[in-house]
Amino acid sequence: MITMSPTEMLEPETVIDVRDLVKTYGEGDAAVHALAGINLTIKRGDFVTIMGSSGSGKSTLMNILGCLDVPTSGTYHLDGVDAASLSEGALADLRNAKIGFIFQSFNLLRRTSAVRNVEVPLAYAGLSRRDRRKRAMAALASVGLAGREDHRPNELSGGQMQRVAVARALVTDPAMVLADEATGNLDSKSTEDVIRLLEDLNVAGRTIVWITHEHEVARHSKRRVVLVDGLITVDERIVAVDAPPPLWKPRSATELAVEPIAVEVA
Amino acid sequence: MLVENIRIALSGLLANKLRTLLSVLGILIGVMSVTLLLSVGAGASKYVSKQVDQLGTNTLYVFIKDPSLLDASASKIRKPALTRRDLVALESPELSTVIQRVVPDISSTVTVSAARVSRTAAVSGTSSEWAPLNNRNIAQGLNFTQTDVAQRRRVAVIGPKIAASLFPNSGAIGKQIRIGSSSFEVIGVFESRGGGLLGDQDSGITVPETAMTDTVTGAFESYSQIIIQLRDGATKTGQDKIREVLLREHRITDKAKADFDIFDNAQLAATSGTISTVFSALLGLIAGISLLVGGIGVMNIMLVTVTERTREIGIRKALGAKRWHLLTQFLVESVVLTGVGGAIGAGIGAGLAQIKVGGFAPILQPWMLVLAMGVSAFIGVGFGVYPANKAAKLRPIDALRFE
Repeated sequence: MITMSPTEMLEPETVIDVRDLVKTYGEGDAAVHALAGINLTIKRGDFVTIMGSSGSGKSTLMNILGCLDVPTSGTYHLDGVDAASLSEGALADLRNAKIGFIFQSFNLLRRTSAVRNVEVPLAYAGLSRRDRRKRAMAALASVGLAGREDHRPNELSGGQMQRVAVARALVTDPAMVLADEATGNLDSKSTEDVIRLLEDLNVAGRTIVWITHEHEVARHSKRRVVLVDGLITVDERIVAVDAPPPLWKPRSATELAVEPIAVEVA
Repeated sequence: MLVENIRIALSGLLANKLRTLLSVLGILIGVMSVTLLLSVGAGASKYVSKQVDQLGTNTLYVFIKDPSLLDASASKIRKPALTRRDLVALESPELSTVIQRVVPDISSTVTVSAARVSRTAAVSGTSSEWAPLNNRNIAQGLNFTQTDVAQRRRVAVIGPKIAASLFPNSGAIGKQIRIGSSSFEVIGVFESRGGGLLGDQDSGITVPETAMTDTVTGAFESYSQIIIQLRDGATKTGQDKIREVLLREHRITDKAKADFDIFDNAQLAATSGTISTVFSALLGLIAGISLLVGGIGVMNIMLVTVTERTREIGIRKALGAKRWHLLTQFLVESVVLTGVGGAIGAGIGAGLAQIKVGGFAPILQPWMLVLAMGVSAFIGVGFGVYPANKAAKLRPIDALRFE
């Protein structure tokens, strides 16, 4: 699927390596520099929040990190692979295998049951129906939605929908989970649930990149990056990459609905 | 994976029942109207050409030429006339391959009266074959038979117009009328033909030829004309053979000196041809317009559907769908929609085509169903897959943001 030449190999634990990333919308005088030269390296197992006011370029950065958009200039290596060198089909495989998305607006398929939504990336990965169902059910259980597999998005609350989206993001066992304002549409209780889920994922070894403007979310991360006008102005490490998230607490047996995901899907 | 895409497409169709229903309905109506319009068009065309055929495009009329136009030397040998001998010659087995019917006609315009009403009418002394040859049906009573002819019975079959004028207050059947100075019994009334290319056909009277010579024209002299109905497809050869036989009967060797003329309905045949051509063109136009209308309906529903689904395409792309995954999904959806809609539409169209409208029955032919379903399937799949392909080419983020 994705082949790497030895020269393209970076340090093994580097998941994201961004160099001089520029993204410009429009041309000439009307050109807007959404990203004006970003350099960013994220190691495996890190939990990074990228903050910034609206218009700071954080969503643009997230779209490029997620291979949903392409930069105007600069390079982006994901897990050692240069994203610019990949064909459209290879990029699709990359998104499918390496990245789990969590969007602000959930982006679930309408009129489609929770379990079927979670199965979508597995279908494109070519898994058999039985394996898909098994893994999707496990992922739903891990986000505390066991028993709600057959509910459709319109039958779920916002928090539940986002938990379906989290299940969908982690079901392929991706190298990185990209969350874009994942709690932007949620109440405080649901926000807490989602933060806890992502903390658990991180503890299980998953790399988390979370674009947000909420300081509450940032408090839970290991590293805080602030964007202003397309440039990184703050890059602050809160705890070490291999430490647990700063506010993470091990759950009691009753609190923990299921085993952490990594065990289920590894 | 292909099977998987088909499954995704089918579950998508099932999940969006209203959208599926509307798409199927659009295609259904398209196919149904095309099928129906085509079969109604074909029915109308057939109806009109049948009307024209009723006028007898394969009918010949043999007349004796005006004596003043004939060569004087020829007329000395033999007084020109159409006689029973000619009739018998035309009925010979030699001509049976080209001739279907031979009917003698002794025509005269005479005064006809009943009770207090009296008027003039064209009376034909003829055989029982006159009515079928002219495609005339009997509305009331019966036609006379060859037995009536042989027994010289004074019976008459009259047109509906003259029946109404002679017997305004009662039925004509069984009544006596006077033709010239003799009394005839009305045994039948023709079905109305109305005015047509041949003028008023509802005021004539037919009687047995024997009764005609007995009463109106006096002793048999000659036929006014002999009417010949050719077999289908014998129009060209038939006329030549008949000319040959009559020349021999009349002992004339030089074709140019013939004492008779043969008229055919070439004019009518030409008109019939023109009408057919006009109808074919009209049929083509109807088919074209209805295919266009049906096609636009299908196109619209597919375009609306795909536009609405650009976001879904974005989500699927973000989750790892490649372009061919999406194309297969939309192709399968379009094929299922047009297939189901087309089949139901063709069924309803075919059902409605069994209903008679305006006196004629629509004619349903397999090619109409094939054309209607083929075109709508083509348009449905085309306009289902083309915009889907366009959306699938978008960057995932553009498709996701699409509103």
